[in-house]
Amino acid sequence: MKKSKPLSAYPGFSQVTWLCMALLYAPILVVAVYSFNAIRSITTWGGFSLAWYAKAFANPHIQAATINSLVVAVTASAAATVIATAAALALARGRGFRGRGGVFVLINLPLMIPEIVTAVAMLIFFLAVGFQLGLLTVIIAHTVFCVPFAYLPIAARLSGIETFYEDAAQDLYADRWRSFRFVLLPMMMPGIFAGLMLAFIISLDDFIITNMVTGPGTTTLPLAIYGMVRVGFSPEINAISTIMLLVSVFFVSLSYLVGRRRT
Amino acid sequence: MDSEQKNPAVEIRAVSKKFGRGAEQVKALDGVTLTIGDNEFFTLLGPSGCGKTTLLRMIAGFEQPDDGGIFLFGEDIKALPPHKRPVNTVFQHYALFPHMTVAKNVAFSLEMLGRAPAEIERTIGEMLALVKMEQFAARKPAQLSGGQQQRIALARALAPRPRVLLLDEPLSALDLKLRQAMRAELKTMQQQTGITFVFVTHDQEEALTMSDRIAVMSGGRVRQTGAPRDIYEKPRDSFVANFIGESNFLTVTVEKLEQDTAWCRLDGALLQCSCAGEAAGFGEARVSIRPEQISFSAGGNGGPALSGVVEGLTYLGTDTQLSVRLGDGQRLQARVQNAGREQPPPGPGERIRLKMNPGAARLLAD
Amino acid sequence: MTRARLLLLSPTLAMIGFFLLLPVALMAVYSFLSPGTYGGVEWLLSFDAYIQFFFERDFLTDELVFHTSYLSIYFRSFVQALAATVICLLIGFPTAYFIATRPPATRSAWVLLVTVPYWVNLLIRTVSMLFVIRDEGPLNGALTAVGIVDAPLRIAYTDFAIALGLVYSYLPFMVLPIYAAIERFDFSLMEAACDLYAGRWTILRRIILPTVKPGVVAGCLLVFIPSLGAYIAPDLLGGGKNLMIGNLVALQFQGSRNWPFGAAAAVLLLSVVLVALTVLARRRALSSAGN
Ligand SMILES: Nc1ncnc2c1ncn2[C@@H]1O[C@H](COP(=O)(O)OP(=O)(O)O)[C@@H](O)[C@H]1O
Ligand SMILES: [Mg+2]
Repeated sequence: MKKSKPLSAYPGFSQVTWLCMALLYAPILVVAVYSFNAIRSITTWGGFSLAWYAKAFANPHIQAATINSLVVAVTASAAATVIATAAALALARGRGFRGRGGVFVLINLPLMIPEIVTAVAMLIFFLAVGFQLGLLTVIIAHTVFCVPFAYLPIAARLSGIETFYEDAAQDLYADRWRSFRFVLLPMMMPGIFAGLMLAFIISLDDFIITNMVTGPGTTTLPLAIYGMVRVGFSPEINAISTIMLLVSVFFVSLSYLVGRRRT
Repeated sequence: MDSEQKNPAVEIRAVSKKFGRGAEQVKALDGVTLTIGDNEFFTLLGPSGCGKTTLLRMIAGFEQPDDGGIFLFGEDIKALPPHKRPVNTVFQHYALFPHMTVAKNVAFSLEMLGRAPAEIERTIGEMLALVKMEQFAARKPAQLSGGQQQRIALARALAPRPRVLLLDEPLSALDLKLRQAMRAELKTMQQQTGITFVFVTHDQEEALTMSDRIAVMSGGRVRQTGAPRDIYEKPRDSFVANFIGESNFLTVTVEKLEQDTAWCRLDGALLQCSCAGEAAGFGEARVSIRPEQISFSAGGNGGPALSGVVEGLTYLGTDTQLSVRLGDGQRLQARVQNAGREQPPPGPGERIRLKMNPGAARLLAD
Repeated sequence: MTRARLLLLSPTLAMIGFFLLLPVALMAVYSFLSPGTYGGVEWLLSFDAYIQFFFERDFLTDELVFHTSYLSIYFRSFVQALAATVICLLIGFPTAYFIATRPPATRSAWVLLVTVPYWVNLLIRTVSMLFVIRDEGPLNGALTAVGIVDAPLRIAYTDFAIALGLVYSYLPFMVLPIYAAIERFDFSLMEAACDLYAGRWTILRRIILPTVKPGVVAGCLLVFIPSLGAYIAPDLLGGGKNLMIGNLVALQFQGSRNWPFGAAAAVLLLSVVLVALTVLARRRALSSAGN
């Protein structure tokens, strides 16, 4: 006898879900698998090897790009986190104020404007005011588009903290600064950390904007990968891509776990 | 009473506070005037939304009055920020800092005040001993039960030895047994430390059992201030009489007024009622009388004494409550203890003679 | 605004206002200037950048002649984005529904599974897709080896590849809002409908879809908007031949060097996106006011 399905189950929906998962994960998994293939072949498996990773790490071009990427990501994510924390304190605390909606839109503006538009607008601006394109312009651009990503978990965390903790601190003779420093800030820390992680990978991953506002000689990892793909596929690309995948997954998971942690 | 006159711990003078604008405006406090004596256990009692928390937050410095003044031991503190006022608060939800241990929570104010480490150590010990929580010093608040958190909140607020302790419904989150135990403990603690307690609650039983004096609030106003006994036995108006305990409200005609006694006619009988000096004039008025202040005996037939017909009986365990209809149609509840009664209570339909203890009925101001 | 609040907001105002809002405004100004010879602009007012979309100046007669080469890029972008949205909906709705009807314990794991790809580098994901579908890639390798096809299937560098890339890029944006809507759906309504003799598919059409429509609309806009301005997918998977708006914009600042025209193209793209976002925000506000 056929087992009766629950009413809420539709035939075919589970198959589509698996198709969806396959679509989302198959390409990156395939690339990861090939990055360990000892030989260049697409059709045959030549045994497990880390040779392509070694080759990638030895490539001075990639080394330089990695250093640039890290410098940019660390600086921009830190700056964006500080900015976003301050903004969250202003927006999530105290009563509503005039212009609140406007500030909110401003914070999320980098998410609303298509990346390519942001990219050319910044390029125009930097050249118009006479900025030398290079590491500095890349860092500024990254800081700007990292702000909304850092803001999200910080504001979420902050709005979950009742105002009576700050009241209690002030009641116990802490002035406003110390009630922030010793009570609110430690309680916000998981959100701030989560925001920092997200900003970090968003900066690490950016291609379109970096591509526009960078100057000659300043390459980041995505730019390096793009350049290599343009020339032709090599297993080296698979190796670097796999590492970047793992870095992203690691930081997202970390951000997710820390951000959800209850104090 | 004498020391209270000389040295009021807290004085609230004609304080008003509005929240919001336009149609949504709420008058949280409306001309509140109070004097809280030193060493007093003073309770703000009233239904939810009557402005108790607002008043407490104003004393702590979290809200600014729109009008009026707040004085602490004679000093105007309106301009002082919360961290400069020598008062501490036990918050309704405890507000223990979740990222600090119990000891760190208790030490917080002392560190903010820059006390010496040795003194801080000693005070932590003393305070945890006071609330019987010594062995929990290293725990985080999340690892404590509600009752334990309550004790730590108390220890933390007492650590800097405030001159006034503010408590906002500190027992409301506890279950009944714990709540009753904590009542006694709080009272003892107040007497031991000699600190003025300003205690907020919506629970009349809590207020009656713990307080030296009570201020009954409603709609942002203080309805009556007095000792628990006065509040219970001599309610000023129908709100107070209704909010605290059970009461019968009866319409009477005032015939004669003396200083604090009014002679009122009810269904032909003359009733000796107590009244405040300020009470209304002659004519129609309302009195309140507690069910347990009405006794009865069988029989009764008009005449000068009050009588009525039993309409129903409710068995309440220790007491039996009678619902009685008077000759003029007004109804009232009378209550008698079950223990020690020889004859059974009268049955429905029986006519009984009612007796009210002299002065037990209270002439209301409204 | 209090002074403390202004102080806290000043870094945001400075950073985003100065380095994003101002640049976008400047870009809009540039779209009304004349192109410089080697990139850049001449400060001469001109509407040529916008006229160029529709008309070409005839070499000989100097007359404006209507042409469609740029318009067709906009049209292609719309079609591509629309195709991606429809495919995402067809895959995303059943997926969201399936996830929302899992037991609560496994639900969040599924949601995480859908979310993670979003955080993985878009460039790398697109590169991976290209790696898999190109002529010498594993997909064609497998198809040839098994003997399904003789010569490699031409998938990469086609419009289909672009659509595939867009779907792959923005599929999570479709699933998540629909999931959020279905998760709030009261499934006892379904039993009630069934009790009234409605079949499964009737219930889906008449009961579930109308209830979760705001989530579906949000998902569609969240896929359509970034697809319209996509750059990486058409650039890599389209092989640079099948342009979309994003590539058209970028080209003006890299190759052809007509800045005012690039700025104008960007302004047009931005306007469309902002209109779409306003629609989205309106609907959000409306549905939250209804609750
Ligand atoms: N910050 C505030 N904003 C607006 N209204 C408030 C605020 N605080 C209190 N109120 C209003 O003031 C009234 C009194 O509140 P409260 O003092 O908290 O009452 P209680 O503590 O007696 O329950 C209530 O109607 C409440 O809604
Ligand atoms: Mg309250």
